[in-house]
Amino acid sequence: MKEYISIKNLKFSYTKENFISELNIDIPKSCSVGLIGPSGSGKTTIIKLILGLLSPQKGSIKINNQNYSHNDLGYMPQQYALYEELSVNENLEIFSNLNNISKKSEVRKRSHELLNLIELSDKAKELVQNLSGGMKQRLSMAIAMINNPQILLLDEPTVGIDPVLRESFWNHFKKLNKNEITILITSHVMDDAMKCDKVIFFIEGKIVAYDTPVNLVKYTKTNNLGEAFVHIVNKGYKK
Amino acid sequence: MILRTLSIAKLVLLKMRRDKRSIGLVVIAPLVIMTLITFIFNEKPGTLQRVAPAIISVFTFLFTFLLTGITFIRERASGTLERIMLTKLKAHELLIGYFLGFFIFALIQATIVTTFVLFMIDYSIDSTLINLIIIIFLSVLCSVNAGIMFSSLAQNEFQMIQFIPVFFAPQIFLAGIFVPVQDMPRGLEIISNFLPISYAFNSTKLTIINKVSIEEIIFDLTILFVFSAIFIIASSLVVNSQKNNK
Repeated sequence: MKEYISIKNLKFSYTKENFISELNIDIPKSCSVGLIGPSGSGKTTIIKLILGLLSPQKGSIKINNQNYSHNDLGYMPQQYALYEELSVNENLEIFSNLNNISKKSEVRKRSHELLNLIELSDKAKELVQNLSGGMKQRLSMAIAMINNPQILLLDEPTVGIDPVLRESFWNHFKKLNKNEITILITSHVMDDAMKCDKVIFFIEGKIVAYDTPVNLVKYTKTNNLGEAFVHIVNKGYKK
Repeated sequence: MILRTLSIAKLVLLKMRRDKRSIGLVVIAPLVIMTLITFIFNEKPGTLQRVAPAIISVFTFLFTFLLTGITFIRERASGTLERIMLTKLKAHELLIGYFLGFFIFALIQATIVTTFVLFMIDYSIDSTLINLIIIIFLSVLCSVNAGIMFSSLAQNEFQMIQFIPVFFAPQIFLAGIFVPVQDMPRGLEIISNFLPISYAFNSTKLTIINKVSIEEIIFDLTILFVFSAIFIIASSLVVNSQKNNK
């Protein structure tokens, strides 16, 4: 598959020590790619580099072989990043307006669609501060999708979400993939990784394996992705 | 652009409206302080004449500075600032939106403070009221942006409060409130010339005590505008640095 997001020779560090160096990732269009690794491995840093919230010291990030704007991206951060004093609807309206969705009917329609998806239609008028953690997580996801982005960058999106809703999220992600939306998702949950089209195992700023979940299990001769991860960490990955 | 700017202003207003404690403080704090000042200076009209301009200029600056600074720190800490800067919102739209939103609250506070003061000194309303409105407008513009700028140096609300002794105390002492600027040692006089409250205080004093026309305070107003511009540029850099968190 042709690459869509292309990260070439990327170097980035927070301190003098090299954190990420000579990183190369090609992500195909319309795929769900999981960036899987332990806490502190650099998953969020990669997301922030793609978003332009961090600037690489070296290397380039291109989308569809060209420089890109934030407008193509939808981002769900690890923390909720919601206006707690506002209602669910007001949050959606503010973020719609900030993304140039101005017509009230359009805002209402988009909010309605997203609230149905995240199963929060009955909480539309509720203040965010009164929602549970899982509900906030879902609203945060809806806001990431409000501008119909071509690329969704989701930082630990399934934390605090029950298995039934997680399944419905993944069904939606697959629908988005069919509509040519590319999804990069960070997680340390192997259930999420299994659902991705491709998985990047990422440790201490380095890619230790990048393949389909099936191949990762097959070539490590293990029973599941969790075991495959441990195997790769200890012995490396060879096809 | 207008939609995004107005959305930010609406956001500020909604947040403040829902935060009943803050709303209470916005109204009650100046009321309490001004009532206290009325009792203290009621028997000493001469002193009151001297401190009245200081009260207006210092409190207008202080309340708005804290309100904006703390709100901005919260925006940063909760991740919402990062998130809104990833939308189509531009830094200047954010700043104008914030200014519009806070201007209403700052105006409420400034109106309370000014009404008290003018009432206490038996100020007769005339054309100089326009001067006062312009001074308050520029002071709010200045302090909203100073609040945003200083919020980038603070990591939490507590640190923001610490800017009162660091940023405000020297201004209060050097603005000519206690000792006229020209009577200060040369070094302090020079420093005083670089502090916005000096100009807010001087123009307010000339307006409500000497009842001067706008032409006579145009220099102070210009300098206040220049300070506002400096703080706007600095706060734009702060917001942009949030976008390119280098």
